[in-house]
Formats: sequence, C-alpha cells, structure tokens
Amino acid sequence: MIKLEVRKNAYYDSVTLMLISKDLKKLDGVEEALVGMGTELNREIAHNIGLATPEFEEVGANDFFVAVRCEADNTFDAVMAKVEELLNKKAESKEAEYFPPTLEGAVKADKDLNMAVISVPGKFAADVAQSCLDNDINVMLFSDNVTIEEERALKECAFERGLLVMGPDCGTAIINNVPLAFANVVKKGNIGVVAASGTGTQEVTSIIDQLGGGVSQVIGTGGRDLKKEIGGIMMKYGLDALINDPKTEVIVLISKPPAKEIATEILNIAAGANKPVVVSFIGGSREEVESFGLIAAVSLEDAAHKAVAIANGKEPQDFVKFEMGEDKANELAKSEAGKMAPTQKYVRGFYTGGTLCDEAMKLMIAKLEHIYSNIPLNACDKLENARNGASKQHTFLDFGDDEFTVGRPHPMIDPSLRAERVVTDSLDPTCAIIMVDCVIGYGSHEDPAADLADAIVEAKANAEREGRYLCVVASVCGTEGDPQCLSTTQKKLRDAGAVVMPSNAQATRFVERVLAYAK
Amino acid sequence: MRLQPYRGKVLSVFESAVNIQTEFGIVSILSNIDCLHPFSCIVGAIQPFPRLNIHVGDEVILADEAIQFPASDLAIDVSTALDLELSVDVMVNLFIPIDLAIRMRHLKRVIESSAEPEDMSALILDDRSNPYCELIRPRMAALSLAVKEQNLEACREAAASISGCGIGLTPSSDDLLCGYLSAYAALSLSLGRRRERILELTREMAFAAAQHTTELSAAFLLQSGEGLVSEDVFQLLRCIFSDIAYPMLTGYATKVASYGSTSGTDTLTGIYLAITQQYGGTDID
Repeated sequence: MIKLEVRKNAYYDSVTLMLISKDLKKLDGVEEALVGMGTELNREIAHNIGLATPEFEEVGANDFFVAVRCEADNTFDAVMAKVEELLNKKAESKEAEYFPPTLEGAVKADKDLNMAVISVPGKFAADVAQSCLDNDINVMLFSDNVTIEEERALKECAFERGLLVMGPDCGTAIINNVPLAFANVVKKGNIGVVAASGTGTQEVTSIIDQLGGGVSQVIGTGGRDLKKEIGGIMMKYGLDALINDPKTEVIVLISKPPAKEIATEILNIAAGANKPVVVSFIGGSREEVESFGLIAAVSLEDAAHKAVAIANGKEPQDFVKFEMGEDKANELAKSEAGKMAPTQKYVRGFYTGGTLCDEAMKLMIAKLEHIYSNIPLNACDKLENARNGASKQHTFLDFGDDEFTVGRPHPMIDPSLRAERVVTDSLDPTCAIIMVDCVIGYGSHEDPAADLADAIVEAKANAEREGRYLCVVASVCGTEGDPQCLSTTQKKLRDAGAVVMPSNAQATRFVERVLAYAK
Repeated sequence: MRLQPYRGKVLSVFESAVNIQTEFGIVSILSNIDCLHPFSCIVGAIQPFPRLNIHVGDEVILADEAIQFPASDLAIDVSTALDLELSVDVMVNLFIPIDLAIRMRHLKRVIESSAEPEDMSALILDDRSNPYCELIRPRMAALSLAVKEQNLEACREAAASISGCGIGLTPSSDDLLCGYLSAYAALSLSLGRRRERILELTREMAFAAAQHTTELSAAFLLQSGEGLVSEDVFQLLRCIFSDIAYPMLTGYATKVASYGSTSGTDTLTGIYLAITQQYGGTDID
C-alpha cells in the first residue's frame, strides 16, 4: 500500500529532511520512501518510483510530504512516529534552554544573577552595562567603541557599589573558575591575575597551567583602564580584591606601561599587599617596579615562571632560556638560516593576539631598530594600508586591530585573513621568517591550526619553487585542557613545517638567533 | 538595504538562520558560522535563533539602522555593518587560467569527498546514481545545449524542467542550477563576453526555474540569475578564474561543500558542469 502524509507550508531544514529520508528506508516493512517539498519534479519522482497517490495532486511546492510504500497501516504509523521523533529531537534541542533576549527577562528568569558578559555594539554598551550595575550585576564588557567618558562613569559607579566593570574591550577573565569569553582551561590554584591585556593574560595563565600551577581569579580591566582619564580604577579595585582574597597567595599584574602617576599609585598598593606581586608592564621599566620591592617580569612567559616559582616556595629567577636548551636552539637556528637565499633578510610577524604582537615587537625592537606595523612602537614606523598594502622590511601586524576587523569576526575566531597573508608574503623574496601565534581556548576558532598549517605548507612551497627557504616560527597560546588541545595544535603546525616554540617570548628569541645567523 | 524602513514577516526560523519574506524578496539573518549570502546579514553571538522567541509570521521592520522584531523585543543593530557586494559583476581581471583543467580536477575531488547518495554529484561521478539524477541527467544535457546555442527559449524550458528536484527546502536541482548560473556568468566574463547578454540568459533561466520550486529556493535562484552569489562561492569563482593557488581553491570549495546537507555539493556540481560543458564548447575534463 502507498501512504502519504502532507504538511502544508511546513519548513524543515535540509539536514533534518535528509536524516528522515535515510532513517525511514531502514524501517522494517518499508519498501520505498520519499520525503521532500512538493515541487513538480519531486511529485514526478514520486510517480516514477510508484509512490504517487491521487492526493498528490493537491501537494504544493511549499508543502512537506512523506510518501511511503509499505506492507501495512501499522508500518506507516511507525514511519510517522519516526518522523515525529526526528523532528521533535530537533525541536527539543532548540527549546531545551531559554535565552532571554533582554536583561529584564534574564533578571526575571534568575534573580541571583551576579555577572553579565556584554557584547553589543559600542554605542549601546554603556547603557546595557549601567542597567546591569543598577541590578547589582558585575559586568564583563566585551564590546569596544565605548567612549572614555562612559567608561569612567561606569567604573566610578561600579567602584561605589562594590562591583566589577571588566572592560570595555575586555576579552578574557576567569571568575570563580568559570572562563569568560576568550579564556583557557586553566587549573584552579593560588595565583590571582589582574590584567589590562587580553592575549597577554591568556599567555600568562596558560603557561602557569603548563608549569603545573593554577589560578584563583583572573580579572580583566580593559586596555584603557590605566590611562590617566580612567586612573586605573579597576586595576586598583581588582588588586584590592585579590589582596583580600584568601585563596590568592601570589598576584600577577599585567599591562602595557601605564601613565607615570597611575603606575606609582598601583605599585604603591601592590607594595602594601603583604603578598608577593609579580608585575609585567610589557616593555616597561624593570627598575621602577623593583624600586617598590616588587618582582618585575621581563616577558609574559617570565611572569608566569616567576609566579609559579613563588607559589611553589622557590626563589624567582629571570626565565630567558629555551626549553629545548641553548645548544639545540642555536643549532636549529643555524640550520634554518643556512637554507636561506641571500635576498632573505626580514621577519614578518602575523598575529591574532594584539598583546603578543606588541610583546614580540618590544622584545625585538632594540635589535631590529625599525618594525613597521599597524600598531607601531614608534609613530614613524606606522604601516599605512596594512590590510591591503604590502609588508615593508620587518613588518608585524596585529590582525585583531580595527583595520582588519571591520565587518569581520576577530581573527581568533576567523583566522583566514592571517592565513592568506602568510601565503602572500611568502612570495616576497626578501622575507626570511614568518612568525605567527595561534591562540586556542574557549571562544577561539575550533581548529585555528588547520588553516594556518595549510597556509604554512603553501608558503613554504612558494618559497621553495623560487629557490628560497622560508622559516616559519610559531607559538601556541593555550593548554592541554582546551577544546583544541595544546599538543594537538602544536603537532599540526610542526607537521606543516613550522618551528614551534613553547611561548611567544621563546619564539621571539629564536627568530633573533635565526636573523643573526642569516647575516 | 539602505532604503526607507520596510516591513516583512518571518518565513522560517532555523538554528542558525532566520528567513524574512519582504516585498523585495527574502532577506536572511545568519549566524556567524554561516557564510554571507546576498540579501543577508551575519550577526554575532545571538543565535541559536529559536531560543530568542522569534516565530514564523512575526513582523519584522528592516531599516538602515536596525532590524527589529517587535514581538520578541529584539533589535539587531546594522548601522555599522560592512556592506559587501557579492556579485560576479564586481570581479575584476578574471581570465581563463592555462591550468583550468587541473583546477577542475581539484574541484571534482572536493565534490567526490563530500558526495552523498542522494545529491546531484552523481551527474559527474562515475558509478553513482539516484532517482533524482536519473530524472535530471537528460534535462541537464538539454540545458547545456541550449546555453551553448544561446537559445533563450530552450534555455528557459530546460531550466524550468530541472528545478524543484530533490530533498530539502532548497531542492538539490535548484542548488545545481544556482551553481551553474553563477559559474556560467563568471566563465563568460573571463572570456570577455558582453555582460548584458549573459545577464539576459541567466536571468531568464532563473525566472523560469523559480516558478517550479519552493519560495526560499526561488529566491536563491533569482539571485543567481542576477549574478549574486554567497561569499564563499564568490571567492571560489575568483580562485578558478585567476592564478590563485590550488589550496585556496580547495579551501573555498570545501567551505561551499559544507552548506546544508547536500546544497554545497550540488552547487559545486553545477559550477563544475557549467565550466566543463561551456568552456570553448569542449569538455575539458
């Protein structure tokens, strides 16, 4: 017998319909089955395979139908039960949770809410954040394009009410072991971090985890917090929170060098903490930090090493070594440099993490003198039209900067532009080394190494075709617990031919060695 | 958009897409895991859409500044969104690369690796068959001949006889036609043919085909007829008709192949057929 079920103007997505089609044919007693939309051709196919019934003439192009040739009525009942099951499975997964579209709805749904992550266009963000503060909700403000006046007002309000405003443009935090936005799976521990830097924080917390340490709280402040106009309100508040947190035994401060008076205020508070405080003012003055009796870090990696050493009761030492050992690093650098053509002189750093890009430039600027960039260390080294123009000598690009993200997701979510640039610059005969980061963890692309590895293979092949050797140096920021997994990601890049270093700082030191040997 | 505010109604709501029926055709709101399509807008973290209480039939107000869903108290700010022109017309410096045949082999490999039993790939892959393809195969041959002869009436008839075949809201043969029309337009531009003439042909074929399928599929067909394509198809066509390296071509083809259950593979099959059947009148494969 032939049975037909029609649902007028019913829309189901193609994946569901394909699943239904496959599953129905497997049911006992079903000789032939056809599901689909009732277009003329689908009706014609039903005729061709003997599934048409007179009722079929009434079926329209926007109607969903199930036509079955089966042995008995109860077989068709089983067919329709299966169809319902598959459709409902989809519906259940859609309706399992309620996502309130407004703050008011969320507060009604759960009166105990005390943390909001806000990611709305900048011009609306301050209003939404203020509404959260008015409801006694701490704020992580992922949005950027909030004015500095709005930021100041929000932070003053939050400070008065004893609430946090992390941001604007705050990309990472871990509060009570819950990672927020771009964050890594880091073990629980006794190191507290307060930071005005996204990927800088991820680099430090990931290395802490790799060294066997763990974090108590990671509080983001947003990159502008230590500017004069804001006065470091959240850095001071976060620092105070960590000082008073019994689970935090070591504190790490991370930021670009703040305005002088702000730095003094913050270092003064840290000096009175009665807990060891490691300060990483990336590229800032070591002497200034040490003059307050605090521990200065020479890189993000060094900050992590020092914090873990102190947490383990050891004396902190500067970490400026290679994990693979000096001899092996020198040997490898020499070997890479030895394969290069005489035209190859310059390094290109293509970063998805802004702080990592900034750190690499700061660590290398003394030796390279000029590094052209869209986020230059010196105004005269500004690379105009960085997105579409060519690289110039030593060039470092932050693909997360506004120029690259207008109308696109952040490169940690969609790293394709960076991958394209790796290939493009491999065609430049003066390009000797391409340096890349690969940031994994929550929020990042599900497999950022895949595109990058393809690009590295292609870039190396391009250079080889023209009688050159392209050295690619990569570092992965993340942990073994991250969904993408640190070692798996490292292996993908290594298999593609990259030299994979354990940290951005080591990658930078390695590149310096290669350049020195290449001279 | 860039027009006065106008109103539409929600036509369908999926995990990662909301389709809105407007007087100008279908406008889609897509999640950021999707690729940009013509008349669509990609949004960040607000999906899955069914959890936002958006329902079929809800009123939608579309304006330059925002897309509003009054019934669910939701607005999507589009005032700073980047406009992208996804038309083959804006592709410049297209040419027929000397290794076009190799490029087509790369494309075929992607189709092979993503093929499903019930999709249109059986039209180009040996040892595969299904009832949909058996119905379409002779009609596709007629379409190819009509296009080669630039016979407008025969083109219309052939396109109309192909559309609406296959499982899904966008039946497979429609995706096949969409791929065919867009690749034919890009190929013709690469050969320096007059755009007006190409457009006349593709527009007429699309219109004829659109009369015999679902509303959503008809909208996509009409867009293809105008030379409008998704961002990934746009990039793929650029890769085929330029000297961009094969891995990029394979990368974009793989992205297209991932659309829907068979939509992507069907689109790629259409692209493959258009190029292999229409380039110089010979089958380059």
